[in-house]
Amino acid sequence: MRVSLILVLLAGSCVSDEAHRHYRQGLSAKRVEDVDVLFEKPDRPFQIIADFQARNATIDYMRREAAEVGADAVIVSRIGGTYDRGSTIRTTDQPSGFRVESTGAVGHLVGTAIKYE
Amino acid sequence: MNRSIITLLATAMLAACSSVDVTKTGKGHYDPTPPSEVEILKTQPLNREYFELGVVTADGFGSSDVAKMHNAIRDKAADLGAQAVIITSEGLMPGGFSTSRWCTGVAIRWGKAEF
Repeated sequence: MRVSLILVLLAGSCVSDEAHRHYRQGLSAKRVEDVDVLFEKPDRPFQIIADFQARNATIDYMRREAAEVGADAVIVSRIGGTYDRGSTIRTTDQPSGFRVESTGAVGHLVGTAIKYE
Repeated sequence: MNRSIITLLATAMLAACSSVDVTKTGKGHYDPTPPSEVEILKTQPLNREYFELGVVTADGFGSSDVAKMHNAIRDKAADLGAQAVIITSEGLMPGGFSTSRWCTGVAIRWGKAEF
């Protein structure tokens, strides 16, 4: 029981290097389930209200942060990470003609909180 | 047998050590770009407008793996929507088993910021 509690506390405290920027204040917080998670810009017009960045964060973390600032959605990207030195570069797999095999994603998760217009 | 195990472990350690750290400094979101389209620049572009998206640090690459390091930078900076990375410094770091290559740079996008 004590070991489980310690593990849960450690898991919850693993997010680090948090850096958030808020561009618009005064919006009411929303329920987390009402915040859309996107991985690219939406087709409809929007305003950016905040940027979030953290190591070891999850998509749920970004969604919670976005809900706190009253966002309609959060656009999530993972940047940086480990790179497999044994990777070979192939030029025929992807439409871009370039493919890198990489392992791991230890870098930053970034999220941009938006409000639809 | 022991030497083979040590060699195997050393190889595994080296294979896992390369990384590219990207920290976002710009505002807003830009959709990822195709990695093959990300330019690697060693000089600051003076005649073309651009804005910064983030800072990039690569380390743990083989001392002669310059092109591979550049490709790793392309791959990781592309997630940020970068169209180029300006390499600001680069060097070699002596290590326990071998010398490794590192570099730092700035991920940029051409034109004016949208946000």
